Amino acid sequence: MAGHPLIGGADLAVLLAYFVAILGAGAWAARRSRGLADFLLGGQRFSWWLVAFSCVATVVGSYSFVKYSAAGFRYGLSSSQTYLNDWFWMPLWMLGWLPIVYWGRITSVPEYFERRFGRTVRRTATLLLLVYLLGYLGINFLTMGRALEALAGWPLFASAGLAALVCGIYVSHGGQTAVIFTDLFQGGLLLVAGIGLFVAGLAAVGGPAAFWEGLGTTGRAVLPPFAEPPEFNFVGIFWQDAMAGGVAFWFLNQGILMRFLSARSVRDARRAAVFVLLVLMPLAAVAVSGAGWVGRAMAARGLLDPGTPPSAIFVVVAERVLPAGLFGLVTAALVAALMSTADTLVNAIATIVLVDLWRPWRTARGRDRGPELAVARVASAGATVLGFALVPLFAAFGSIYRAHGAFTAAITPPLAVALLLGITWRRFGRAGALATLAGGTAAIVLSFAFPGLVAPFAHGVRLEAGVKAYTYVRALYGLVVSAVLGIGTTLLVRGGAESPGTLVVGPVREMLRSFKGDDPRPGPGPVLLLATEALEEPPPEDPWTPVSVAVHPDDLAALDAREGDLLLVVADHPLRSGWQGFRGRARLDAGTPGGTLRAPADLLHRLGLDPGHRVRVTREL
Amino acid sequence: MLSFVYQETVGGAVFLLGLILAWRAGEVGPRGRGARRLAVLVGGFLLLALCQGTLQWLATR
Repeated sequence: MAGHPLIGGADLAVLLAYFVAILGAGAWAARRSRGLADFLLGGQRFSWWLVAFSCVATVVGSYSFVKYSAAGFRYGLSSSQTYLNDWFWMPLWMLGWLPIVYWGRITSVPEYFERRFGRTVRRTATLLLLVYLLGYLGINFLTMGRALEALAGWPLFASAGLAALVCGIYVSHGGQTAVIFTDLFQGGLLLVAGIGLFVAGLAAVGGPAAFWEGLGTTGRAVLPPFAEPPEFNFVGIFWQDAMAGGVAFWFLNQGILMRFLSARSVRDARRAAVFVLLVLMPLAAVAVSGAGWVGRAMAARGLLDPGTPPSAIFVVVAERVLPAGLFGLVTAALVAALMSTADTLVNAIATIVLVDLWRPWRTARGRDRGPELAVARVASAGATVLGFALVPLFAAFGSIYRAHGAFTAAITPPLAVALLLGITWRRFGRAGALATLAGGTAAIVLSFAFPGLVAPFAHGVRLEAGVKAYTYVRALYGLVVSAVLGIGTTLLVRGGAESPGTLVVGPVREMLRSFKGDDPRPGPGPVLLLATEALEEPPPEDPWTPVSVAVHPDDLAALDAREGDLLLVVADHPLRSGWQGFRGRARLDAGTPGGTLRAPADLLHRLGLDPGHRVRVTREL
Repeated sequence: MLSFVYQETVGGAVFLLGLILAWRAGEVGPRGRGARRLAVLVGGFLLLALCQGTLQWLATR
């Protein structure tokens, strides 16, 4: 049933313009996305800043504006806790997990589980991840429907259907390339609108000093009280978000994995992660919580009813402090947060269907890989339809967010422990991984029936009735039980084979050799400016196979490179170099004129580097 | 400040474990690129801890 519309006129026009713009950005990117390499990993052409900015839209999740503004209104600056606690994982992620997947040419999380533990573990992990991703997608579409129902007065299912349609069209056509370009646009919109709203709110409340005063003593703390109240306490959120959630987001989230694998080098992926965590996430915390903080200060100064429902504070503050038109822009940012999470999920599900279901199925029957790009597109469309089909199911829940939190807590701890033990302990094998995944999940499910099992880990958090019992701190219980099962089983089972060196954190030289297929010579070497020239041969279809590029012997010597070395080629332009680039394997060719680089014509055309364009070339490996 | 101390202690242990593994893998070290990576990681940790610690301390005054 349609609700009473909050926006109309200029605001509605801005919202509709947003939908048109996002479809336009998706179509523009889809034209530059041809093969499977582009669909899955964006052709691995993206510079660090493009990966980083496109990540913002994924980091700011579906509920963020409403949820964090509500928390900011009720509790103050401590609503930012979850945006500032991921750095603890960075040494292991940047220098451990990222090299394993990037240099190991691993496209999906279940693919790692098969290489490391075998087919049975891969199937278990695939099942758990698909259930999680599809459920999360359904909740996203429902959230979007609810938001548009409240804001524009459109019926719930029509709103969710419109969002699903727009998202499905550009993801199934453009894949990862379209996701990155649309998320770049949506991430920028999120930050500008959210921070703009906060700044306008500061002025409305009477300036920074009045704002600080209005927050009150408790509202100025950036971390909540240790164990109280049960619905918002530090220790529960720390274990649920920083520990289990941190691993789930950075190590297990297929969408995040693909985003960083689309970087043109491990170096770019690492730079992107540093920029995201130290610059963009603090800004995103202000963008999503700012309306709530301003609302709290306004209420303290008598400018707003203190009894305003926290879940409505984002819209109430935006309506109060922004002129017509700008409110539409903020509404578009709210929709962008929802869309950008949904598009990443759709692309991630398509990848898992292709890599972890389609390929093993074809291989088991002794067939070739078949029409993979078509399969990926159909999987994207299918995921969108299936996600939309789940909307009525989740709409039946009284509190979707709490149900989703409980659902997530039941799935992520065993996966997180299995992956962490897998990448850090060579002896941890198939039996330990199965005990962790199956036993850990069973133990968590059991804790819903017997919440007393979680009590020893509760850190003083009070027990609530029903499914709300220990919602957050259950993650600590899940992590501990899964770890005990995994470690115990590994110690008890004798004679398990140790993992190959490239699948655990260890000396990177073996990983580099495996990636290059030859003795690695880590760069970057000298930079050389060359002009492009077309080579009449098709680029490889496999996303991990570098194209062959022909270079004159003198130029190769100037690059301090040899035949077979991997070269990074990017446009000689400060902005376009962000997406106009690729990795090539050097081929010595005396027939190539000096000062030029010859690469497949189709690739050059797709990247906008047609013959005669100047490119910067350097040795990568 | 209990929340802050708990976060930095448990989170710091995770951070340190990651650094030790990265050190053994040769990804961080006392010289060259390894030292630069170490500086970025430790610098980021200290920056976030300093910002959160200061704001948390100010709230108790």
